[in-house]
Amino acid sequence: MTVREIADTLGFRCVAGGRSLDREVTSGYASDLLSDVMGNASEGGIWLTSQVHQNVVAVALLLDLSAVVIAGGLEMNDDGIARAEAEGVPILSTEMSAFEAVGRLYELGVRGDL
Amino acid sequence: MVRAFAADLHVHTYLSPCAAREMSPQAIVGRCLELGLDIIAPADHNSAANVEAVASAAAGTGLVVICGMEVCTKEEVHVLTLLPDARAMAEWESKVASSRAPGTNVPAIFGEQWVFSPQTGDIVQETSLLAAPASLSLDEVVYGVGALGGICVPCHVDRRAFSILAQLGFVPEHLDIPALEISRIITGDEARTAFPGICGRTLVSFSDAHFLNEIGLGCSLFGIEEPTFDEIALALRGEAGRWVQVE
Repeated sequence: MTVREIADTLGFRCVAGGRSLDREVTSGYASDLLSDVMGNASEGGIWLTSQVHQNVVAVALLLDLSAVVIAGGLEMNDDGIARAEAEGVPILSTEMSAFEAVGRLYELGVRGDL
Repeated sequence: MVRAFAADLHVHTYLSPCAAREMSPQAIVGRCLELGLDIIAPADHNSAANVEAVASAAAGTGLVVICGMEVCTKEEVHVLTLLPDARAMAEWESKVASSRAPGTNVPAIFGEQWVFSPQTGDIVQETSLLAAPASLSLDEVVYGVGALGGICVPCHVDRRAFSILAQLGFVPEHLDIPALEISRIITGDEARTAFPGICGRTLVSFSDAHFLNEIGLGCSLFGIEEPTFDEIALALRGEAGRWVQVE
């Protein structure tokens, strides 16, 4: 399933990095600690977080993640948006709580690494 | 006699991956002198490798350099750590260096990290991953710095990113945290209104400069007898008639 299909199905709004929406999502990870994500998320994964600073984009680039979902109606800050746009990292935004958003992703077949 | 000294104790050099290449020790000192600052502290992320270079650049200018480092804890809280002297700074540097995240920096993603050697004049890249959190907890940082006679000031507590209030929800009462730093975009009154939990605590503001033109934009006035670490520590604790106020 691609980032675009997930965004369209769940109504997630793309706020940056729209040119990379056709990337395949191969797994999912949810965490607000960057160190945890850096140590445990997998390449191609979609990462759900409530952190909204530009280091989120750096970590997504480092791990070559497929997309970042900002849950809870929070807005990525301007530096982060600019970096994500420049680097082509899809940033999706949703009003759903993190718990609800993870559940919906799981329903669509996205799985974490066991 | 107590008099006012202008201090910016949170300035990044080009060692911090997020700071501009123009932030050389010499350029930073030059800008501080232009602005008429009395005291600065270099405060790079998880490294003090340029503290000596800044002190060396400031030697003989009258600008006082305090030993500093901005540590990113395991909880991803940024804490300004101020040490009393070069020896204590070296010990703290060694402790943090052994607690840094594994792996090497990727300059294209996080930014370049430059260290200036005042002995040789060489500028070399620091390869460790300064952008990532250290494996030290906030408690370990506060106790570790305290044991060396230093002081911890949690950084930009009003921001959402890497702030003690955002990451932990409140300032733990059991820790020796004499003051909190607010970012330069907010006044002390605004911060106390937005974050009632910090009322009663000493607030300071520094620039957190990543570019030369940001130095001094956040600044605090210290009412102290002389521009030394010990006097600054007294002011942060509000002891012996010393004081600090957000400029």
